[in-house]
Amino acid sequence: MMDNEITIIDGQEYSDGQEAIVSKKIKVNDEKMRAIVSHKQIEERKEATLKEIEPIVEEPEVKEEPVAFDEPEFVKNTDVEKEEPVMKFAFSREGAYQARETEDEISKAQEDRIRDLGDAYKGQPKPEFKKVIDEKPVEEKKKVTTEMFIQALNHPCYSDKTSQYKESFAKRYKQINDRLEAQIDETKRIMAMYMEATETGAKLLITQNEAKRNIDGINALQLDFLMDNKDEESIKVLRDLEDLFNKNKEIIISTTAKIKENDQRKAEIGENEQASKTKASQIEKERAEYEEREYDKLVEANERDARVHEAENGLTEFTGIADDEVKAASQRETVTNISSMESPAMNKFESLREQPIVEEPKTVIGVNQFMNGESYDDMSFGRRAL
Amino acid sequence: MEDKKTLTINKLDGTTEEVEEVISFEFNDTKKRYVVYTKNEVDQNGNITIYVTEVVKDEHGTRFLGVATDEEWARIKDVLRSLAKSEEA
Repeated sequence: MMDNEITIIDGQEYSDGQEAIVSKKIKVNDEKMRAIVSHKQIEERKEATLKEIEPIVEEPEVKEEPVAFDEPEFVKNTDVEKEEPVMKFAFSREGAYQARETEDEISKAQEDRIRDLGDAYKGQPKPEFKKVIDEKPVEEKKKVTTEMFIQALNHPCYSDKTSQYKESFAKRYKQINDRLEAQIDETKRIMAMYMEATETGAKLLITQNEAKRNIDGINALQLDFLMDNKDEESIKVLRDLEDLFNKNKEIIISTTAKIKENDQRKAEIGENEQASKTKASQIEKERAEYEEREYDKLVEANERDARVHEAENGLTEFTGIADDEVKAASQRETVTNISSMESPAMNKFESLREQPIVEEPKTVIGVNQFMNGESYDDMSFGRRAL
Repeated sequence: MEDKKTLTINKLDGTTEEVEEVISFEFNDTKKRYVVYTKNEVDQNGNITIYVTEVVKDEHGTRFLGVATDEEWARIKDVLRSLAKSEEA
């Protein structure tokens, strides 16, 4: 038993469309009609009211007038505190001012006092007051978009280690994208089936309607004949008409069964379509979460790669030997001698070299092709020519 | 009815029909959407005929798909009865 909960929607979204199957009809009296329409009007009024209220909700007016007598004035600026009392209310004022030796202490006193006052004001909410306390700048994290993620993923890097590290992300990302693409294809396939079933239903209905019209015509003809002609030839015509009638009747019976069958099929396809769309949305969400979760790691890997490269270049300039030679030298533990020259570039290189690049990702899965049709194997994650 | 909103239906036989939207709604469970409309046809008893069709809007455009099953039609009638009643109450 299904629950008949509905949501009133704006039908104007569908203001111009193609009829695939004729609509069902029902008769209502004027009173009921008005009642049904009134629900739409209520929804529209609600929407209009919300639109009016919306700006007020979005931009609440913050009162900045001086607070009333004996209400606390909370001043965050510590420079001002030196000239003006931090809090204008009667509470162990002397003790508090005398005791303030450091800004930390003042801050603590403020917090304590605010808490006390908060308790005192219980039952009398002071939004402005609360706002001052809560008004700590919150750094909104920048939303990671697919473009940003791909850019970070495709960012060329100098070291093989970074390339390998990023490869594992690319493999996982590609796997998610492949799944999403497959699910979208599946949805399209189901939608095409639905369209096909709709067209079949429409054709069946046309055939059935035609048969019904034929039968109506035959009935009329039969009546005319029965009234006017009773001779043998007319009876023969009547029999032919009867055959035609039966033929059309069969058409109606068979099309009715087919229409019912087609309707059931359509209902099943519709459910599958919905399930497929839901699944695609889930994968899309999974991808967005993956992008959000791994973006910083990629950016960090790119930055570290660039820093290491920069340091290596600096070292090369300083020592006058090639990059590869520096590496070889470092492997041979001859770097100690070079660093003893107290080169800032060398120190930077050393500090970076000692850092582990980044934690290896936990999931590494095979890959055949990357998104946008680009072959993953062809992607240039390798070293860029130096 | 106040604030009439019209819909254009391109019919199977190639003709176009302008009708008046009565209400549109979506079943919360199946997410199927329906438009209820009227051509303002009144019979001798003063009853008005209203039409109901499922609507779908996708890359193929907007399509009016009728009502697929008897079960679905029964649910729609329940909804219409409920909408008609709740105002009376």
